[in-house]
Amino acid sequence: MWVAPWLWRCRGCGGSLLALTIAALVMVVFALLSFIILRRMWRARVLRRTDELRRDWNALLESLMEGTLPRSPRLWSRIGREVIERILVDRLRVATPSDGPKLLAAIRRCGILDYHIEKLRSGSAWQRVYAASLLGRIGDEIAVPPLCDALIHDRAPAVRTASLKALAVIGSELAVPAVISAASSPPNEPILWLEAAVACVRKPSAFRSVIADGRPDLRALAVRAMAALNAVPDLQLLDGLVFDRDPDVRAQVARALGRCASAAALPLLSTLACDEVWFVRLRAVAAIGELRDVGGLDTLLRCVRDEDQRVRAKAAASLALLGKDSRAVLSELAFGANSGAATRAYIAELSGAGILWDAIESLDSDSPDYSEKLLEQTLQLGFRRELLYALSAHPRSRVRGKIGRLFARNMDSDLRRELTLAAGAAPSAAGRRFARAVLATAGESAPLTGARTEAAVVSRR
Amino acid sequence: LTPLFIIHALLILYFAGAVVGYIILVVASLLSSSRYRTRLRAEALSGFTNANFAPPVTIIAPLYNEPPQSLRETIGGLLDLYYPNFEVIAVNDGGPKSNFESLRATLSLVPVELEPAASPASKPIVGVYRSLIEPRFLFVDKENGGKADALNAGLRFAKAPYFCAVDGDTLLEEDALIRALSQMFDARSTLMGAGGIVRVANGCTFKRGRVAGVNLPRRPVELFQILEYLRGFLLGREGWSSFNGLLIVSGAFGIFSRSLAVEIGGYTPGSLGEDMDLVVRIHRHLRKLNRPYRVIFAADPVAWTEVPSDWASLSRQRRRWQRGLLDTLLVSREVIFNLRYGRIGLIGLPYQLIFEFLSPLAEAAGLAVIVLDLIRGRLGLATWLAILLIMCLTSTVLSLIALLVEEITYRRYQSIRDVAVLSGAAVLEFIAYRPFVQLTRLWGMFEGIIGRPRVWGKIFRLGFHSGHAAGAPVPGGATE
Repeated sequence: MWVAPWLWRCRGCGGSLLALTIAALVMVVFALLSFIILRRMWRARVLRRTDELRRDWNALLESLMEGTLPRSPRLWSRIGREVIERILVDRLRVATPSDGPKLLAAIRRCGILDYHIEKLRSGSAWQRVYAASLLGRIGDEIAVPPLCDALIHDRAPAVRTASLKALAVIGSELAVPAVISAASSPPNEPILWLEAAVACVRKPSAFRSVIADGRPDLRALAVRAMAALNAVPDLQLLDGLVFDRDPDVRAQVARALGRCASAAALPLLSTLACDEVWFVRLRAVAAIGELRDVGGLDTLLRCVRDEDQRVRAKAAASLALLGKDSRAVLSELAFGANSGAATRAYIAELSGAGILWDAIESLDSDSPDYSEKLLEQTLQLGFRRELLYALSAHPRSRVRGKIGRLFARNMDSDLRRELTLAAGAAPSAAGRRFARAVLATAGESAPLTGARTEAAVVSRR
Repeated sequence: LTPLFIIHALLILYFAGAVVGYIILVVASLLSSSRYRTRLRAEALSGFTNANFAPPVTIIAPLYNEPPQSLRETIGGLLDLYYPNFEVIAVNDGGPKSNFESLRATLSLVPVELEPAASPASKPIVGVYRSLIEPRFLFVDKENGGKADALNAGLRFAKAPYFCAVDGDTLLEEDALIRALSQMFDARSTLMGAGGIVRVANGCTFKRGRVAGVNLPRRPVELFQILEYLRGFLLGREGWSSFNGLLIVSGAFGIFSRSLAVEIGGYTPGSLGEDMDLVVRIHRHLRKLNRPYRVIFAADPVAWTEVPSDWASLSRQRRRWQRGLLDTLLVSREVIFNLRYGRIGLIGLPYQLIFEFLSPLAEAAGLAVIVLDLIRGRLGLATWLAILLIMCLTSTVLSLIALLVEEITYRRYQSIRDVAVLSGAAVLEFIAYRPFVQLTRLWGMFEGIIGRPRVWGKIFRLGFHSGHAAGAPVPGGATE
């Protein structure tokens, strides 16, 4: 708007410029509106045609799977080819084991596979990306050599990435050499390589050459891949890496050892649990938990006193993972040894995972003494809020009763105040009555006389 | 060289600069949209969900005063997202407890003892609750400290390498997370943030926390905001993203690297523009460290949000945004025109300062100059009308280009009637909407300069209710 005075001084020239600008803008507005409307009409027409073709192809699908190719040129037009390609690839994704080979054969007969292999070799960059992605979704091993070729030799990073992802989907052992050699190609995102490696490699020894590489990031990646494989890691190979100079590699070694499912890994893990770097120790205690072998108990009990809070928490989590058999042992060591840190970490882990709520109930039946002791410790360690909530809201009256007795035994002024507040905020009327009854049994006046009866019943139990 | 001539010349330069900026952004966004569509054609999202290494995500939803029914829809919608590995942390920022009772009953929340991480700092945590029936849900109750503080509290409990900040009045589309994260999957080591498009939910119908029918709202104030959002996201952010100069990832739906957010101290408590503030600090931090990175916008993952449905709420919101922008610019003043910060220091932030923050002032100055010229008789009425028409047409062209991008790419508005109504609104927007918005922004700027206290401001919302359109009255649903 401020342009006006200056333009106005130009008289004729300014006026013409204004008129021209307005005319141009009006034309642009109309062109845009027309384009939007015309495109909508064109799109409706294309969609109609596509729908017709889809209907025709669906009608012919059975015969196509039996080996008969339709001859109508309309069906083999560009849109027709795209339609059948989409139908077959989508069906392949949800095909039953008996239909899968038939659909794959139909894809080959229709020339879809050859067409995209050709596009992968000689198409434009985006055609190559699309071809690689589609070949991955089809999952035919015939496509593996051209995909490997694209992974190693294609000049466009997007195509190499798409090929790597496609090979990860196909998961063929034929791709192992290409995938292993692609580990060192800079454009590939490490996580994509990891996925491809895990999908294609069957034997951990295939990573030997990458592990021997001088670059620590590659070594760590290879060990991580080894850990993720659905095969027992090569202990001999990992043994040599326990003292690797790179902490990332050592951490990944701990992760891989956790997948060994063998007590033979425990000595190596115990060594790694003493590592100077916290996250190596963290991985080691997590791995001991994964092994679920009571042989790791001593190491874990040592680690619940670790200087790093994260390691302590993970050690407690691993202790909780050791399972039902180790509970008695744990109870003896954690409670008998009066290790506050261990007990707190253990209960915090149960609480943080939401297990404490369940644990209160489950422990009630299988080991009454342990349950009492755990509840006592829980209260002493300050986990009052959960117990207060469970007192009024736990579905089992037996558990509520047990907590009620615990509160009555340990009543002090703080607890009385919190319990009074909890009684007011309980989610149900029954919960409120019960909380007040506990207060009453501990000497506080209860506003509801009926609640006294319930408390008395509970205490008899 | 009179002072008036200098003012005229400056304003002409300003106008020309703005037009050139818009043209560049439009071209860049068209190219970027086209590339993105081609990439989407080649990708199979289903393959991504099956991937073993799909990065875990923590969704953080700060809540304050959301209507209970709307809250259940939002949280239910978040928990039903199509993504293999995520958790949801809802943070009650000291809002009324009564609003959360129904959530507590629906999800069977029980208190748990969880030790929050020490960083970033937040107001004290009052309680943490975990759901007995939905292990992926955590509810954090804390003292009031504002949205940024609530997000920080959520960050303290987040475990995943990425977190997604979602507003309590926002609904995500079922595949929003996977579409946004699929971009990160290919470039995880360098991609530090991603934002999706935020669309206007007013007028739409909902079913179980999802948008079931996309319709236009009835109120003009909401209609104009649709155009504004389309323009801002499909042209502005898409364009900036293609230059890696994106400075705003909407607070309604943005995904960031958790470790990076913690590294820079999380959100700035008390900030009114916490979303932009975080992104600018990410840029600053990574530029300083000289680390390769990207912050991107993806127009495909969609979040639906309820925009103000009355002029008073709109005014409060825009004043807050303007003050948020001012805060961010003040905090980052050392970056502006600083070579060390590359395109962010030389283009991104200066653009925000000159063509965003100062635009209401420049337009007001332009108007004053015209009125002055009219009074002094230096300008004829016909010329004045012609200039007004040019400005109106320029604004219409920009809105229509945004509609065109919408039409050739994402096509959420299916009926031809909707497109016709939006085109009509594009013509009227310049006269019926823009002056009001610019005036409120000027007001916000003034408030910021005189240092009035920062307040979030109440916004009248009707919430999301299954079977109802947002913005349609629902008994007992409205909150202020």
